[in-house]
Amino acid sequence: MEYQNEHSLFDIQYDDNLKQQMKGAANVAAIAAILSLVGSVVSFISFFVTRSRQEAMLRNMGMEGFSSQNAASTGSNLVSAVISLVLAIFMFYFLSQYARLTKAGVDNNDTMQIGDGLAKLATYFKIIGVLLIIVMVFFFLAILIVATIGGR
Amino acid sequence: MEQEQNSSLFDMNIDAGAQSSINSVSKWTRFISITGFVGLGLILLVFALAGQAIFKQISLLSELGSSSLAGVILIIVIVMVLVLGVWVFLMFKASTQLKKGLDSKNSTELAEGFRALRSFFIFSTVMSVLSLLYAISTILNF
Repeated sequence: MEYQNEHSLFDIQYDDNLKQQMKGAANVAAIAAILSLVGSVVSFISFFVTRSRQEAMLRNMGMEGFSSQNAASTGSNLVSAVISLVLAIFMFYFLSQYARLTKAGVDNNDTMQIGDGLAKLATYFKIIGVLLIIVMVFFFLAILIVATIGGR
Repeated sequence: MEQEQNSSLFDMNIDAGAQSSINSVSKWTRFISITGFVGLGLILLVFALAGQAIFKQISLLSELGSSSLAGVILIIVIVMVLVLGVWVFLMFKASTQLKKGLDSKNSTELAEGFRALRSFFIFSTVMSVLSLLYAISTILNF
């Protein structure tokens, strides 16, 4: 009994309710991961479709010069589209691994697998957090530059 | 009592590694959600302070009347802030419940955290579907 008390004081058990909720979250995460990746791939394709249509439209209007002037901005858009796709693939990997490992761990009563799955989830949110920090740094730098130029 | 001991021997316990991962999930989701709240608050603040000027500038570039354009923009901004607000709130709720569950070593509260996380993922799925539909419509109806 004493062991039981000490045990329950220092450990948290995977009871049925917890396992059910963990599996539920993992199931939905798997769907979210797939849809998010499909969305990113379709957005990537849509970028090229839109670009080729715009170029064709400019050619038809006899504005080839304007089209070449826009090459630099199109290039930067391409870079951001590629970066977005690469990030989406990374995010998909970690979220789907979390879902797969957690579901398998709960089904097989394997605490190691559940732990590995949770570690993937932690990495997934860590990536989002770091990206958010990078975006904030760029945002504040932009504000600083605008304020400096405006102050002159 | 024997049954209790047997049950404690064969039950699965959350090991230190898993607890550390849940703690990490809780910390990062808290950071992301609080940053999200601050960002949404800033958007609302900018619209409250400089909304009139923004509407005027945009209406100069548009053929629509100033008042109707202002209404459309206002509705879009409010809907976006509400949707993102719900998304961020669900993440914050998951973070809080997970932390509570870990701190109190209570599996019921931890389960509530995962339930909130599931709600967050359901909302993310809906957002992904909307984003996918938008991308498809861009390809089909340029």
